[in-house]
Amino acid sequence: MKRLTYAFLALLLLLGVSVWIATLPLGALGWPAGVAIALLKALVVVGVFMEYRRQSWESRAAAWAGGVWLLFLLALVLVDLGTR
Amino acid sequence: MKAAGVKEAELQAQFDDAGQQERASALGMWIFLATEVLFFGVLFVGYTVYRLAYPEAFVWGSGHLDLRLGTLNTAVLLGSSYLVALGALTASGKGTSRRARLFFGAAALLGCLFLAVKGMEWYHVWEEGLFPGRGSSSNSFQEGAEGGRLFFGFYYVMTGLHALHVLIGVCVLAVMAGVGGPLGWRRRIGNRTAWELAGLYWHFVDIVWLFLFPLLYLIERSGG
Repeated sequence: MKRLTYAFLALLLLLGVSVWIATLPLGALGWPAGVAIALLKALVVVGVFMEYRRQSWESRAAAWAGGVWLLFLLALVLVDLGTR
Repeated sequence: MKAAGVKEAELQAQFDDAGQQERASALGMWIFLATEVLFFGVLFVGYTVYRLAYPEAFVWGSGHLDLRLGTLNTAVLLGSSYLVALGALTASGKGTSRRARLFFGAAALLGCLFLAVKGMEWYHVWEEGLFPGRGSSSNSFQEGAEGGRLFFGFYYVMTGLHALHVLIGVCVLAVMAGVGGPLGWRRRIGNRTAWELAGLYWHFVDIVWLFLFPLLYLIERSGG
């Protein structure tokens, strides 16, 4: 139960950090910074709240499949845009 | 092998044992969530393409959203996820305990609060005339022009579909918390697996919002 509480507090801290970073004059770097913190928060939720390590290897593979296919989609679209 | 979550009476004929049935149930939910990643992923990719095409208009659009309400809603969803995780943990120890139902019930109430805040925000933005197709007669979109319409198109579709998922999640959590009993579903929600699967869905809904928040609300708030 302590682990869940620490994870929740860490998530609230990361939320505060993401709002603070958005107020800094980072220009074009602000967007990647915000998404990186969101990714970190998502990893905490998956790792602790969704108990990733307790899942069977088949379930872990399904989770990875979703993420990897999303990366394929994003990468191919961006490559298409970048090479026009 | 016999898992604690599924009783012998609930073991379906196609499974060798309760452990196998639980793993299959969890796998089904994870596959469903992977398809949901792609469902929302298409919107995120579309957003990225137009964000790159109209960077200034997206900053303009984001500036019209209420950062305080967005931050509040993020904290509310994180809190609800925490309660659901506590509920699933409690349920996995003693079956459908009263504490687990209380945790899920509280999480469902936080889900309702999220939807209320979101509704309030939609109303404010609508009042400003910032709705694609509606603002043609007003001046609301003139500064942001075409890109502004696109930003708010994405805003309504992405937050609307997310809110629909929250609404479904609230219904699931409410059924687990107690509404399912009077409906005659007590036996179906009486094992640990059902609580864990409901939790997985709710955490996924939380994760989607964790990405929507910076993309919609935190665009260059420094004004630079």
